[in-house]
Amino acid sequence: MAGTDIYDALVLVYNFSMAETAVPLVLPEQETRSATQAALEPGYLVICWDDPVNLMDYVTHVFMTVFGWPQAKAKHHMLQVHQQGKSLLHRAGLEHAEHYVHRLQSYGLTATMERDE
Amino acid sequence: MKLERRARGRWVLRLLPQEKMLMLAVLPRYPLLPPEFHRLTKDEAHAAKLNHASQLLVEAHDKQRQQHRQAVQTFLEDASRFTEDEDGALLSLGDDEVEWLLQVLNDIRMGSWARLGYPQQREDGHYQSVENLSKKNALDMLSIELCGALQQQLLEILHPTD
Repeated sequence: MAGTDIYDALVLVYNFSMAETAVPLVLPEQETRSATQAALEPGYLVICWDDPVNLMDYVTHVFMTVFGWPQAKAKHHMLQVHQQGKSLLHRAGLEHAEHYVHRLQSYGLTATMERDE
Repeated sequence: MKLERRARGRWVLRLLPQEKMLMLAVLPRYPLLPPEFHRLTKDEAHAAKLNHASQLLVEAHDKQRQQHRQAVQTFLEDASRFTEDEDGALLSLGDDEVEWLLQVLNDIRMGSWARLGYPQQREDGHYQSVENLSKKNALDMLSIELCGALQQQLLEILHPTD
């Protein structure tokens, strides 16, 4: 899918910019590893919000496609969105959260990432 | 629109003449959803810290829009895409193309909704009353309904047990 290709490029750019901003004089390997770990640790919630226009079956299909979920799980989350206004889809680090938000938005779903506090 | 057959990894769909005409009429409207519709986070206080990621997201969406726009153009110019017979037309799509078509139709549906001012859905299922139909909003009202119908038909083909 085109969306995956775009995200791969996005991650490459993002990783490149992170490496650029690492401070090289103080324990460079440890600093870089620490920054990478921080980006990968679960710290963000991927949330899908209700809107009055996306079809229910479409939302279910997108969840199945993006997350690889079985239909029953995808439908459960779709109903949460529909009935409760939102559904928590995934906990992830920064990069993975960005990936999922991008994929969901590329299908037109109203998805955001929020800090897991 | 119905599934005619699944052959060599491709979906062969049967469209009525009217369905083909409407599909070809609505696809040139892509892209319609405003680029600023999507945000990375709702947390305004945290949004500044995600500025770089937000910019990358905007660029990724923009790149995808360009690719989809090109694909729509190619689709519309490809006369061999449809095979005509006395019952209508056959349309052959690969898995990626079905996903692409769903995304494009959804963008037009959502973009039409945005152009109408993001109305809530009425009890009758529509987004505007017939009394409010005008030359200005007729195309958007039609696109919402039409894209939704085509999407639903595609989804029923993809997930026949629903």
